Amino acid sequence: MKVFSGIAVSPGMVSGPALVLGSENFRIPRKFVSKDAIDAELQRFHVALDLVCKDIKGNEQLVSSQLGAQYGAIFSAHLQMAQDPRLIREVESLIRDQCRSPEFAVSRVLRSYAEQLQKMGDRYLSERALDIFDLEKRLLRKLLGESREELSNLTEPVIILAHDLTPGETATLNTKYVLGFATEVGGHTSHTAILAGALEIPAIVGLGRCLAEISGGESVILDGDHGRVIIDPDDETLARVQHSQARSQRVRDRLGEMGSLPSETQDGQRVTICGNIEFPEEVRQCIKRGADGVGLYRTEFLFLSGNREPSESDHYEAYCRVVEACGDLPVVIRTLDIGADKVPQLMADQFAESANPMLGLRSIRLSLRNTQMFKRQLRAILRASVHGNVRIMFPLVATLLEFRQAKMILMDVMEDLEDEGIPFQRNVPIGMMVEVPSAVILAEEFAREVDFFSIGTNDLIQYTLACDRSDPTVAHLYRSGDPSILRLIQMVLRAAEKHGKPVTVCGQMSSDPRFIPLLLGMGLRSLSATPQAIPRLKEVVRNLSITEAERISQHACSLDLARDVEHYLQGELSRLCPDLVDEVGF
Amino acid sequence: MQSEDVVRRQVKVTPEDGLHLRPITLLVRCATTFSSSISLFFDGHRADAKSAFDLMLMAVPSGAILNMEVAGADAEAAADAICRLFEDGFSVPGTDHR
Repeated sequence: MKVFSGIAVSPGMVSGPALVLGSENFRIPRKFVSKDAIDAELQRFHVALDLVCKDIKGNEQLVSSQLGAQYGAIFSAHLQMAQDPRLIREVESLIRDQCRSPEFAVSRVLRSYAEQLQKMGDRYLSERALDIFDLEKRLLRKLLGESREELSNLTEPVIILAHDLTPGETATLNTKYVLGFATEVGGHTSHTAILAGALEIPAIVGLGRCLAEISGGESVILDGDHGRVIIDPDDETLARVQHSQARSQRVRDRLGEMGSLPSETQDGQRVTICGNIEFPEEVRQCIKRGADGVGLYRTEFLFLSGNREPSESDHYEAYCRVVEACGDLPVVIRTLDIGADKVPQLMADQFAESANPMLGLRSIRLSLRNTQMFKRQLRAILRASVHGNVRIMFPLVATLLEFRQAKMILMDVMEDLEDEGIPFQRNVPIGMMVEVPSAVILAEEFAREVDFFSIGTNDLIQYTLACDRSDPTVAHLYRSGDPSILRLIQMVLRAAEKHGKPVTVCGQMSSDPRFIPLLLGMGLRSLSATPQAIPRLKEVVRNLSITEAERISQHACSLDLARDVEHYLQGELSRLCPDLVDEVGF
Repeated sequence: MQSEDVVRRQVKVTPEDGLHLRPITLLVRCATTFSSSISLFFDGHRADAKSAFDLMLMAVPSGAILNMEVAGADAEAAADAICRLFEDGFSVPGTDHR
C-alpha cells in the first residue's frame, strides 16, 4: 500500500483501477520525407490541423454549453492560433521546399515562435509560449497517432493518474467511466482544477513525482476531500472505502433533500450558510442546495480567462447575472484577488520577478496600484447594486490605511456615478477579508471602520504558519486546526461582537463539517462554503445545539496541538453526524 | 489584379501596453471577416493582420504609427473597420462581434 498526497481540488472519494498517462514527450521519428511523398505529407498536415481545429471547437462548445461561455473562452484563442495563416504557410514551405516531415516542421515552426516571444523580454507575450507548446502537443499527437485513445475508448470505470491533463482533456473526460483523476503537476487555480470542480469529478493535483512507481491497473483509492491517493490499499482499507462509498451514496441522496430545510440548530439558533462561487453559473448550484446567498463571489475569472482586460460591461454583465439570480439574497462581491499563484497573462508585465510572490504585489495591493482597473470594477459592482442585495469586500487588507484608501476610491467612484446620474446603492455594505495576521491583531480598530468581516482561512493559515500548502515538503504544517488559528478566529469574533459587526468564515475550513461545531461554539453565526459542501454543513447545524457547540469549542481551544484538535473534532462529528464521517481513518 | 482596390492608411497604436494579446485577438478576428489582404508595416517589418503570430512577433509598442495596406474587393470596408478598431483603442464593445 502506497499513499501519495497532493492538493485536493474537487471533493469526493472513489476507488477503482488506475489508468496511468505518462508525461508526453513526443519523439519525432523522422525529419525528412521523400520528394514523391510531399503531396501526401502536406495532406497529412492538413488533416491533422483540421482535426485539431475540430477538437478545439469541440472543447469550446462542450465547455460553453455545459459550464458556460466563460469556461469556453479558454479555447477561443487557441483556435485563432491553430488557424493562423503564417503558421500554415511556414509549415507547408518546410515540407514542400525542404522535404521536412510534418512533425518536424510543426515542431520547428512553433518552437521558433515560442523562442522569439520568450526572447522579447516582454513577460506578457512570453506567457503566450505556453499556449504555443500546447498547440504543438495537439498537432503532434494527431500526426503521430498518439492520441490519448485511452481516454476516449474507456469501457470500464477507471481513476486517471497523469503527469498532467490539459483543460481540453479534462473537459472531455467521460464522466461515466472516469471516476476521478489525480495529476503530478498543477495548482488550485489551474484551468484543469477549475473544470474538475465544475464537473464535480473528485480530483487531486500537484501530487509530485509518483507515476514512476505506478504501472497502471493497480487498485486505487482517490480521496478528493483530503487530497490523498492510495495505491494498492490493503483489503481492510479497501473494504472500508467501499463500504463508505456505498454509504456516502445513501448520505448524498439524503443530503440532496436538505436544500429546503432551514439551517437551524436544535435549540433554534439560525445559522446563515452561503455559497462561494467563481462563475455566475454556480449561483444555480447554491440556490439548489438552499444557500442563504453568495458569501464570496470571486471575480478573478473575469481577468484570468480572456486575453484582454475585462471592460466595465464585462464586469457589469457577470455581476448582474449573479445578483439577479439571487433575488433578495445577499451577494458579497470580492474585488480582484489576483497575484501570487494566479497572474493573468494580461497583467504579467506588472509582476516583477519576485522570489516571494505570496508576499508581493497581489490582491488589494494590486488594485490600489491600478486605480483605473480598480475603479472600473467598482463602478460595475455599484451599478449592479441596484438589482439586488450587493456587498463589497476588499481582499488581503493588511493595514488600516489600505482599507481607507480602498474605501476612498470607492467613494470617488460613487461621486462619479452620481455626477453622471447613474443609479447605485449608496449604502452598500463595505467589508474586508481577514487573511493577514496583522488584520487580526488590529481587528478592534478595523471593526470600527468596516461593515463586516469575512475570515479567509486559507490565506490566514498560510501567513500565520508561514507555510505554502502547495509545497509538499511543508504542507503538513498547514492545518485549520492549529491552535494559533483558533485563537485568531476568536480574536476577530470578539472584536466584531464588541462593535456589532457581522463575521463570516469562508475558505476551506468552513467547508469542512468537523469545524462547524467549533466555529458555532466560538460564536460564529455565518458561514460561506463551496456549494457542494452546503448540505453537509446544514446537516451538522441541524444536529447540533449551541450549548453543545460551546462545550466542544471550549475543549478544542484547550488543546495545544493541531492534530489533537482535529482528532477531537473528528470524534465529536462522528458522534453528532455519524453518516458524515468517512470511516477511512488515514 | 488591376481590378483590385488598394487602400493605404495610417493607424496609431493607442493601447497602453502596445499591440498586445487583446488588441491582436480583436484585430485578427476583424481582419479575417474580409477577403482583402491586409498588411501592417512597422519598423521595416510587414505583418499580415490575419496572423496573430505575425502581429505578436512584430512587437509593436504603444504610440507606434503603422502603415496599413489593404488590397482586395472589400478593401475600403476592411480599411474602415480596422481604422475604427485602432481609433476606438480596441475598447468599444461590439467591434469584436463583427
